Amino acid sequence: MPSRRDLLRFGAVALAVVTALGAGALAWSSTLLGEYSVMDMGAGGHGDGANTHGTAASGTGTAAGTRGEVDVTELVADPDRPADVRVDLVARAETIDIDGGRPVEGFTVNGTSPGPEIRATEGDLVEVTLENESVAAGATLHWHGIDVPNAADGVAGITQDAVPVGGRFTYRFVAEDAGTYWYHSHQVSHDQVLRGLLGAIVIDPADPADAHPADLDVTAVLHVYGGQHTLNGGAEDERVAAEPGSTVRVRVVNTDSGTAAVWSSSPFRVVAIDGREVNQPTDVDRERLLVPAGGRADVTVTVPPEGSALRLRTGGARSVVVGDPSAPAPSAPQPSETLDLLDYGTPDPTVIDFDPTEPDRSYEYAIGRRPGLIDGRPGYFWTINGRMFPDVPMFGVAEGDVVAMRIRNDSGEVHPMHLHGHHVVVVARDGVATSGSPWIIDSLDVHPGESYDIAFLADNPGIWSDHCHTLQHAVDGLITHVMYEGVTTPFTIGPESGNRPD
Amino acid sequence: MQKLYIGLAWTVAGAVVVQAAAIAFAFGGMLNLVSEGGVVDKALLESYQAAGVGEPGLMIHGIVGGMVIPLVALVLLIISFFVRVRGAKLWAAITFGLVALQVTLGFSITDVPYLGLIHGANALAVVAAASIAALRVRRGRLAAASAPTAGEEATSDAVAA
Repeated sequence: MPSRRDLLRFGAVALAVVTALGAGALAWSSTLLGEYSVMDMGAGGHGDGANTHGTAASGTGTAAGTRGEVDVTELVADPDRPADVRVDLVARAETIDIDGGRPVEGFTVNGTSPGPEIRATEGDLVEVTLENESVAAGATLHWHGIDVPNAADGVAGITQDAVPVGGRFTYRFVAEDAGTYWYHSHQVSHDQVLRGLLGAIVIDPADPADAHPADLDVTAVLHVYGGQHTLNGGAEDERVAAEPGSTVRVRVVNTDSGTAAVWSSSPFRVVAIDGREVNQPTDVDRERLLVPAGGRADVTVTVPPEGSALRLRTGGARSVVVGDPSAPAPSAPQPSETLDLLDYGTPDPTVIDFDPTEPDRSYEYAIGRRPGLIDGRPGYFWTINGRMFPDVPMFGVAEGDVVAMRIRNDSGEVHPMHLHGHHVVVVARDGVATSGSPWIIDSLDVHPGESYDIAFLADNPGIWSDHCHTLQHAVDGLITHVMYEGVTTPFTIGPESGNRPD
Repeated sequence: MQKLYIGLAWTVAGAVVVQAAAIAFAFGGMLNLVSEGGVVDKALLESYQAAGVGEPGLMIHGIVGGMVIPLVALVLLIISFFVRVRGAKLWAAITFGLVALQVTLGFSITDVPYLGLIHGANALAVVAAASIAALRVRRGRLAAASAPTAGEEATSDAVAA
């Protein structure tokens, strides 16, 4: 027979347990997202005046201004202009054959992965129709690095609904900037990109003199399929036959979720980063170039004399062997030094048409990590300015603003930060100003402890994702948006719409 | 409550053994992959399909270390407030503190590899603290059970004192 004291104690314990469980359930359910709109996330810090160093305000309330609203679906390329390049792409869930490797189950575009390379010329109006034949979760196409009109950005739940099986969606944009880019699904992207729903798109300059001269132009799409490192879809090295003394441009596209290293058995030059030509690049010798996840780097090599070849390592596991096709490929041990793009090349003040040192708005994007719940799921999640998804800041801007941002990585892992719809100028790293060629990017590796000052001109109205391209990190909260004043979206993210952009 | 406390403490100690085994397996698998011409790089690790023998080891180490052990250690700490054995709260708190340190170290290793030296050693400290916690309360329990006269809780208090 329990004593009164025992009964009292058990009562107290039971009460404490019930209270704790109740509070826990309440806290848990408060993290459930349900169906939501990015319009309701955070709050724009759009009140920051010129030269103020406010962090993006966050809290409750409506994000962007509500006057003179423009729907994202209205932000399109000239509908009356006929297309110069027209491509039909069909997305399928099927087995991907890997040359030199074993087949894996994944997603293809027109029957292959990577999908077909799209080629256009600067100034062309590109029209791509995506048909989803069998990707059960739905699919989209995002034009990574191309500053497309917002309606063509391809982010499920923000700029469109995911294209269901049997559905179609047409993307139209003017290819305004020459360079190397890629396309990939932005619906359940951590799964669909990983499993192959991607391909390269190259925009050639209208005037060939605008690019560094090359006799041959090859694309090197890197991707890991089922643990197999591949180059253009093959788990083997690629041979490029070229005349001695000629110049070969290799466009390295990193479609993986981690940094890729590029180096060579002979000196090479980095002629473009994220589609933007580097001004007066110099030879890189015994150094490796790091290409962030989602980033691109175009390098040139000079073909060695008759009867020999050089090895350009692309991504550590695969190489492009350039030169005499019958010559043995030389070895290329990995250099321990890394090329620093902060002072690579020569300055060219004419390239940037705004003053990054006189911003209209300044924001901070500080990356941290802590345990918590997102959508009822416990984990060790990424934070932005100390806040966890969806309570992260939104970066409000107005068209014409010069926007400065300081990206600081207070976590223990590298983050390849990617801003949609804009090209960003790197101003400084850890307070040290860039002293080389203008360093213009859309994907930037921010290493632990580093801080980058970047700036961009808000010249492309819309709602633009600004996230980590280690795609699992975006799922785990490292995603927010740059939101233009007066722009709204009718699309939502969640179980009802089926839109899951990450 | 005491039984639960003892069970949780042993779970923490046992889980650390699982951690040691899992990470050794993971590194063995990775070395095996490399020895057969495979390449381990950031792209491979972030693809979550390393395809090597040891990959489950990495996953187990991540889930057990990042999730299971911290949760069990937290519950142990909460339960300790209902266990009337001297030192129960103290050793649960020490265990929890060491686990918190261990998780922090684990997540910082990529950035500062030297922390791995402490991470490995601290694992043994977690085992020791959890074991002491379990043994202390077990001793208190046994002493209480063998005492014939007074009420259970009172006796264990007396013995512990």
